[in-house]
Amino acid sequence: MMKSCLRVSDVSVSIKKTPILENISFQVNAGQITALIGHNGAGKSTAMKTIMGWQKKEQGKIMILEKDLDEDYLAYKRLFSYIPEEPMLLSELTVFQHFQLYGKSYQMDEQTLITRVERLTEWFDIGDKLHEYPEALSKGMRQKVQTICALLPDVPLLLIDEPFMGLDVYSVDFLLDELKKRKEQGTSILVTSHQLDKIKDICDEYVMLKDGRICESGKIKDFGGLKRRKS
Amino acid sequence: MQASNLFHTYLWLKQKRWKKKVHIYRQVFQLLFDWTLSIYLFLFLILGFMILRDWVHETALFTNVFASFSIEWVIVFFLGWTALQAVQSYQDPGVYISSSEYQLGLLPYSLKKVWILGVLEQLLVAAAAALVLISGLLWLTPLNFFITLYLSISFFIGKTTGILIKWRLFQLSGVKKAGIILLIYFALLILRKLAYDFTFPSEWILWGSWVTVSVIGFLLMFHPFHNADWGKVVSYSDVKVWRMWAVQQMTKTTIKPARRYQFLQKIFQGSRARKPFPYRMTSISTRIWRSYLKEQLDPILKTVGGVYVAGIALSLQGDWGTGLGLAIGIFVLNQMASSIFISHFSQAYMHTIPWEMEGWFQSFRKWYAAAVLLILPLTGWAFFQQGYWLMVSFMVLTSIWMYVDVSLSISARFNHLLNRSWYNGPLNLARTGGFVSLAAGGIFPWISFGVIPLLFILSLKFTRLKGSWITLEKEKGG
Repeated sequence: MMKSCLRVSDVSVSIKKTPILENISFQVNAGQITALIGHNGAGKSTAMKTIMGWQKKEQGKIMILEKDLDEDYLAYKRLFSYIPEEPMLLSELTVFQHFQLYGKSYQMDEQTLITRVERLTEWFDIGDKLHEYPEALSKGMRQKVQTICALLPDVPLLLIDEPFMGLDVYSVDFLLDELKKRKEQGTSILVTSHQLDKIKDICDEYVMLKDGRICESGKIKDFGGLKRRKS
Repeated sequence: MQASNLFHTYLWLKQKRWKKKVHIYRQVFQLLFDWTLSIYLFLFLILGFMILRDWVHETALFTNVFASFSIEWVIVFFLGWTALQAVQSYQDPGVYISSSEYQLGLLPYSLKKVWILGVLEQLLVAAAAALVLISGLLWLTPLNFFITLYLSISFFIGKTTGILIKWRLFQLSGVKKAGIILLIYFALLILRKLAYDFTFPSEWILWGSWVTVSVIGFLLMFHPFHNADWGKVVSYSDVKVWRMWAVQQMTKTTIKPARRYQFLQKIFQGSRARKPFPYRMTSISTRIWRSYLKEQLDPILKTVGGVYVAGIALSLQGDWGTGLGLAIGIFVLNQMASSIFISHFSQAYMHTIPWEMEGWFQSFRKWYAAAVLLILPLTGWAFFQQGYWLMVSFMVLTSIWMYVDVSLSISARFNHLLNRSWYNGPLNLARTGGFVSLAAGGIFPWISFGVIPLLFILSLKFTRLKGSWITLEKEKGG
């Protein structure tokens, strides 16, 4: 039996008394990529935010390795990194200062940080933008910066919300390679995406949400595709 | 000819604006109110005021309190009210030149005359407010007629001079402005000291203060456009003109002035600011706090202004008020500081990174030093009469307590954020002990000198204050 990295058990979330997620349970195994899929409004982003501790849950338990979200939040937060759908950069920090913020927050040593920044900025082709402020960058560039921030640390779990949004084809290719590499190194990845064709090849499992409930899950090779809402 | 045209155009502008506002109010009220309910509400309000009036007039406690109001109180009110105008200059230009008024200056009208009309308009508003105040106080309270009259005159002079004080201070940068506001507070401190030492009759001091403030106002009338920052004036005036409280409450919207990056870009985004940080969390987070605190400047200044007014007023009530004013002031300030600290952790980007609390907390405490510096003049004011050594000792003591208490307050809120409120018992107990001993310090200074250093030593022993409090230390261990 495979060891699980992320375990979500019986989690329910309501926003303003409207149930968004109802009793969902799933797990992401160590060294595997799991796709969280579903139509718009199915609850994918809420599930992501709840796993991060950003959205409060009503009930249930979420654990990354041995750390419980409710019992040891600060230690729990060090076990994952997150690529959001929209970049969340600070207007007062340059690109490199953002990398420093992420590096220091994940307790990386300075030399490791610099080596990784060099490699990743070269691949994403933003090496000449290190001392620019986010407002001077295009949306695609900002998304690249945000993606690099999340790829800097070695964490057991990567949470990715729409990974290819705003990225050019070269960056998409590089990111797919990088995710495969991380997977081989034992990193677990939970990814939501509308572009299933792109992630299908690298995913191992899928969890499908419909109206806040898990309606299907299993091996990605058995995935039959998203059905139309009204057939 | 031109002046008369300008006056008519200005009036026309005001009429149009008034009509538009009425239209907006009507639309919003139609959505949420019906006329029957509004009429009943209005009648209830009038009835409520009449009941309140009878109650105030017939209750011995109130009649005694109002009978005890003297000219000394009016002096305190006047000085506090004038000082408050200076603090408000961070958000309020005093004279409102919104984009519409500014455009009049682009037409063949003199912008200076538009500005004078703006001043006159504010004078009318101040006179009307003073009239409402005097009528309201006379009708509602059993206050002596002369005290009421003095209060209303003080209100009017403070408000009208405040228009020009605000206008001038509004144009200045943050540091210069803070310096001048501090100078104003020191001037008030000296004024109080002189009045106390030479035992002038209270009426003389009041009249002297009125004349001094009015002369300052008169002098500020000259060269009003010197260093005028029109972009800032127009932006804040637009907000002032169109921020309709009731509409905002009902529609759940807020109008804020546009963020101005030009100044920030020049100062904070220069080549020095672009350099990589020394690789320490405190260096990185200090920059982030600076920008976050700047966003929170409005509530910060309002709280500091309120703390000063309350602290000064209470300190004039005798020794018991001295310690109490200081304790309440520091409590309110630290509640605000801890609330700002915690609110930062609900920012979207903070959810994408682990929280290195040690660094965030230490850099926050660097900025908190500004709050300590702000409280020192108030401590000086409060203990001025009790001798030089006691005053200096209390300045040191309050600085220590502020640092201890802000750590306690932040820890309590942080525990709450992490659903660990059960840790908060000892924290709240320590806070209560510290504040009670500080409040008692006005009458029994030895209580403060006994308890606060003890709490400081305990905090060092159990929590190593250089870092943080119980939860954070535990996390470090975990």
